Amino acid sequence: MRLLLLLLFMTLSTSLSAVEFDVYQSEYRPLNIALIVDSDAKQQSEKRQLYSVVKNDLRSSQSFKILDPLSFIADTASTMVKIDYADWRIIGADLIATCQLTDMDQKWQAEVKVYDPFRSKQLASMRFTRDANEFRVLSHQVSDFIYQTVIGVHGHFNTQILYVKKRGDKADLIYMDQDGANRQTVGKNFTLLLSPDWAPNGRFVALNTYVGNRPRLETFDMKTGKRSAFGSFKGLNSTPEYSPDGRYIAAALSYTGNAEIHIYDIQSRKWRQFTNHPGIDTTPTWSPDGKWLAFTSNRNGSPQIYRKKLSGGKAERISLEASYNTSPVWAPHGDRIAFITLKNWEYALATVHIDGSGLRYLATGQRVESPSWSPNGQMLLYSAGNRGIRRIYRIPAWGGKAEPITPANIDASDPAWSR
Amino acid sequence: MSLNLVADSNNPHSLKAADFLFAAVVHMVVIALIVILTWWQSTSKPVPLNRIEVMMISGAELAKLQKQVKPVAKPKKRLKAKPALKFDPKPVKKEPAKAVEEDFDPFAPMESQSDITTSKKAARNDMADIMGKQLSEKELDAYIAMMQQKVQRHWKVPASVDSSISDPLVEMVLSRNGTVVSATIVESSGNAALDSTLLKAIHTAAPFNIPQQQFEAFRVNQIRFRPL
Repeated sequence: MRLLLLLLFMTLSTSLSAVEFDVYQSEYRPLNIALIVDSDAKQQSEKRQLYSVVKNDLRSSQSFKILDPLSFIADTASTMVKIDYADWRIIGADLIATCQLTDMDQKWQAEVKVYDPFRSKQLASMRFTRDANEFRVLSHQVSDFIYQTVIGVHGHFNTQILYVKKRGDKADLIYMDQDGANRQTVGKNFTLLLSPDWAPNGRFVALNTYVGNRPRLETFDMKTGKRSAFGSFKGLNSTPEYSPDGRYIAAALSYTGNAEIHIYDIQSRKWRQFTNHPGIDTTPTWSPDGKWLAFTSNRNGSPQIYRKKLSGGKAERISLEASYNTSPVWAPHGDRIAFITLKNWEYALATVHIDGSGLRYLATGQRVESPSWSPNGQMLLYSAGNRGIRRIYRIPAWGGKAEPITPANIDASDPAWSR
Repeated sequence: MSLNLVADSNNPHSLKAADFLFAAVVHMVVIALIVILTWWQSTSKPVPLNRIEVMMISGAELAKLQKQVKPVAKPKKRLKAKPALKFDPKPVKKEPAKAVEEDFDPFAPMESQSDITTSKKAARNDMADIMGKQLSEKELDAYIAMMQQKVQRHWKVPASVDSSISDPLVEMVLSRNGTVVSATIVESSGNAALDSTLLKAIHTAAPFNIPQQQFEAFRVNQIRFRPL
């Protein structure tokens, strides 16, 4: 815990009319939430399933602590009718979320309500309906709604993750829901598979693979499994990333004799060179407004993060600390860039403001690589090595604890969160 | 012959008079030793030290103590003063130590509950009696620090919303018994979710311990929140 820089106050001034004082936030703290799901007696198993999905979603965000139902004073039936706020204040619930699950013949309906026991009021309520085969989607919608009501940003619970599973000299592309459910191999037997990036529409994936020993860029159709090459130049073809509008793909190519950032127009199928510098430029990433590209360059001797306007101009350096900074990924909200750096001779995942201020270290370890943002900018994925086998970890973008989301017995890397 | 059993000089195992004498002397010596030791033990008992109990008390308590001590003559009042002396320092001095809080335990009594206890109320009234109308600046600061820490302790920010927020200002109006009459956002942080954590912190932290005789000074409070 990096808590308690309790910069204890001291702007205490007493005037006659009003007392003024400052209150400092020292850390991020999860809210205690009482989660209650109710249904007819016939739908016990669905009720349990929804409860466990929502509970896991909210817990995994590290913004909530789910209270043990054994500590509840009020019973479910009466709570669904009328909330006695005092009962919940006593057990320390910061929030109460109720969900009434109803079987609507081939469809499920979930009615969610969120309450604040300390202000004794209902914060929000919403009804969701989904086909029976989309029960998990419905459950994640409930999580999203609670999350958005309380945190004020969209939940990221109905999203998916891609990653690369390496076995021997072959690699597979694995797909799963953000909570690890529905895990499946979508692309098989790639000869090396690097830095997949999900198109905004979710259907295509741009990736870097090898044919023989020659690298090339391909798009992979998630629906049909079809692979089509769009960049197979002499030399390096690597690190593709879709623009936010899905029209362009930026990548690093070295056919000019030196690795530079180039931009591919998907519509016209034409490449254009973006950077032109004797240094090595690689790993481009788009700003959310599509007006900037950030990338890694060793133009000043060591690998550092720069950004440059798409309309041209000079490259501005972003990373100011450490002699090694690579793999920038622009946050979906645009305020920060996640990247890999060195901290005390260890690789580290960090984020920094666009102007280079507010450096925040999130995780350190062996071979910390390839950060990827959740679409709401609240979580980050990265891969890290553990005795030769890499795992994918998830960590809140504001700190918190890193949690592995891939099994310990497979080599997993290069995560890509759906947008 | 056979009658002389005891003093058979031919038998090496038979007892002589000298042996009896020796045994008697040994016994005497041992008994004497015990007696001497016991006596010595009793005289060398350490002289009991005067015990000095040290207790932390606030300035107000000191003033009270001094006031109470002067009219020594009345034993009745002294009796009354004593328990107050023992109890009162606790609520006043203990509060700040709670600032570091452990992980939440759903079965433990809640931090979110009212922290005000009857003993604390007693303390407040006593203080009012002692100090008369005005509290010193230090006293006022102590009350403010308590409020500040209480709000800080109950302020939970569950996630970082966005970095373009500014430090919000909240106006909190209190009633005479320390409950919240109203809490309003005067300057928003620019983020509704963060703003609501502020109001929540205030409502969760309430009621507050405020000096009765200077209630007016604590009626309207402006709190500047500083998010990370």
